[in-house]
Amino acid sequence: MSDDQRSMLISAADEFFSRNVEPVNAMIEKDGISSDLMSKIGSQGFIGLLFPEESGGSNVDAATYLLMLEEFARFSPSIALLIAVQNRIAFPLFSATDEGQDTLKAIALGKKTAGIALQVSSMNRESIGNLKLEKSALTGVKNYILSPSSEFIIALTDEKPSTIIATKTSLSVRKYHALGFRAIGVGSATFDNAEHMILMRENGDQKIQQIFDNLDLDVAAISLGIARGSMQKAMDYSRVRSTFGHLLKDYSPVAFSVSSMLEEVLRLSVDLEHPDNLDPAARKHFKIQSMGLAIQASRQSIQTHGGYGYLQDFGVEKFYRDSTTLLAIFGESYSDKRELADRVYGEKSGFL
Amino acid sequence: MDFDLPEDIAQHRDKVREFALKEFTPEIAREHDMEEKYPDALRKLAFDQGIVDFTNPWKTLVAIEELCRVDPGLGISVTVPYFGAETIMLFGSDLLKEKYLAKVNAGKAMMGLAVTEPGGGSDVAGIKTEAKKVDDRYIINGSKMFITNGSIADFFVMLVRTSKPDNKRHHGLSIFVVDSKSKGFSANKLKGKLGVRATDTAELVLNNVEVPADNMIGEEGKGFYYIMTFFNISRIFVAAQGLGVAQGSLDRTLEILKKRNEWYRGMEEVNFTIADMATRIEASRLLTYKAASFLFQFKPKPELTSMAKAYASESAVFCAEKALELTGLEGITGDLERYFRDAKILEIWEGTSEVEKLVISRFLTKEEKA
Repeated sequence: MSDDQRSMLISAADEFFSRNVEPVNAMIEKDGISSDLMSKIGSQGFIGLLFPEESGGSNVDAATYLLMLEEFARFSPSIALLIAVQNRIAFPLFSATDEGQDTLKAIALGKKTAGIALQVSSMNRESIGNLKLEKSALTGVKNYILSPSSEFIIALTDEKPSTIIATKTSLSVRKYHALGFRAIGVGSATFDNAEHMILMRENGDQKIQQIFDNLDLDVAAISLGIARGSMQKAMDYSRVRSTFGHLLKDYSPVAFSVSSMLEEVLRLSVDLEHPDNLDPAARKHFKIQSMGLAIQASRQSIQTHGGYGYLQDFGVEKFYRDSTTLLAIFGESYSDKRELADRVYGEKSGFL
Repeated sequence: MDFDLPEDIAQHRDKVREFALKEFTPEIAREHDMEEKYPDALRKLAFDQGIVDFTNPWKTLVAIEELCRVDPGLGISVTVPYFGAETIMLFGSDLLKEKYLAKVNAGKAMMGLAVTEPGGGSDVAGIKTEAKKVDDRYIINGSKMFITNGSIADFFVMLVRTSKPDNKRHHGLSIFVVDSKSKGFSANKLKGKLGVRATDTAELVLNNVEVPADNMIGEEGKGFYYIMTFFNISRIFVAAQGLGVAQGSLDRTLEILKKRNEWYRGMEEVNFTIADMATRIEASRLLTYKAASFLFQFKPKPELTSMAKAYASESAVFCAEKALELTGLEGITGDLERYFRDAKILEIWEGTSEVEKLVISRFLTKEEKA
């Protein structure tokens, strides 16, 4: 894709999200993303970004995909994360089966979505839940599912070697009152002889780990989108708000922190344009840096807004919640830091 | 130098902790947080059981710390019905003490402090709400923003402009007791706060509200000084809120980590983070208690109070963020996430961290010049 084409696509996303998402952000945080909005996003070709055209996708290159995610996250980190799950998790798994291929078309159109049962290495199995596939009966409970109300939930079964399945029905879904990503939610689901499709029969745990590793740049892109969105709002507010007789932007602590953070976001975003230049260690570091910057920037944005930043109406408190939740989901257990240390040292390190 | 609390204060701390652990159940805390509902029954219970005892400031300080440790939203809610009382205690007439403060002290009324205005924030001297004297009354017009207890308090201590400023912006300000039942007074509860959702916050609108001249606290034109004196007191209690939030974050993190697998609990990076949290809490506590000891002996050191408020608040945010980083999915979906949402306001209310740093630096440069 040429630079001009990419810029046009990002501008289209900016315009679409400004018109269709920003005005309803508070509502979708409370009630979830409506099927109507998902269909609209799908009809723009913004969901199946990495899907091939025969699956209803836009088939954009990796750099364009990441820059689009960053753009989406400036408005709604929840929508950006949901789209990342469809592209990086659902797409490679569903495309491997015939039934899955048909499903991808519905996903690309925004008619259906897939959620994912999160795996955390530091947590015991009973905390994550148990899912058993005996003969063809799928039974059990899965906790910590991202987007639990989705039509499909991708999860690992307990058997060894583990199997990756996509459930189609569940007995019940319970959404937690989670800190962030409230528009898609985190929750648990109970399955009793649930209808499902098998996506991978063996070595499912390794495949899932590999898929999560592939999310590093997506998480970085979403983090940078959050940081940019936060800093943009802080900059806009500091240009119009006066205190002690001067605009906020005229005070050095405000101007210095906003400008340096925004500059850092822009500097890091350059890496999104050349994802192939990053080796696995650089990807890990990029993700860690971006997640930290998103928390720092969103916290600063609230501080710049003062009491107004603490209110939902101003749209910055959501960034603070989402950036911290992103770290809790994708940066937990220091596994990234360990992996980075291993790669940089070239041998096992940082495990004590 | 003895770092132990006097026995009666230590006993009070234990009593408050026992109360909080029994009454601030996770279900009650969640309900009031989600529904943005003020816990009036808990306020009354805390009052009846002597948990909130304003006759001794050390008891107040440790009570705030322990209550916020178990749940910040509920803890702040039950200790805030007296918010602003010190202005009447220190500068108010006997009439005002009897007419208003006595009811608050008896647990029969709630009060609030109305200083901040829309677009005003920390700029107290920029107050626009006006009070004009007409015979033996004042007529007040204007609005106030982010007022704690705004839609539930019986009366407010309110900062207003009674005369145009001369060469100094903070001149010409006065404080009044304003009854919330007054004609022309209205309150709009603010919903959708990030945290401290059990507390009541509102915007107040005053449209030709009449207040008896006797309701003025202290002397006309000295309101700014009275409010600054009050902030030098109240900031120490915000520092105590910060201590509670930080300590509670650490308590709950340790509880969750006990359930984690061995390699995670054993990782030094994890343990170093816990150590950092504990160290900041202890440093905040020492700073807060030191500033409080000067203040409670009527030898206030505003720069120390500001250091305590800013540092304890930032430590609360630091600990709440680290707690979620360490506890991951359990943290963001359990009771710990409330601490994270509640912590951030501490860096904003009662003077932002930036304002505290201004206070500190001004005292330092003043000493230098002297």
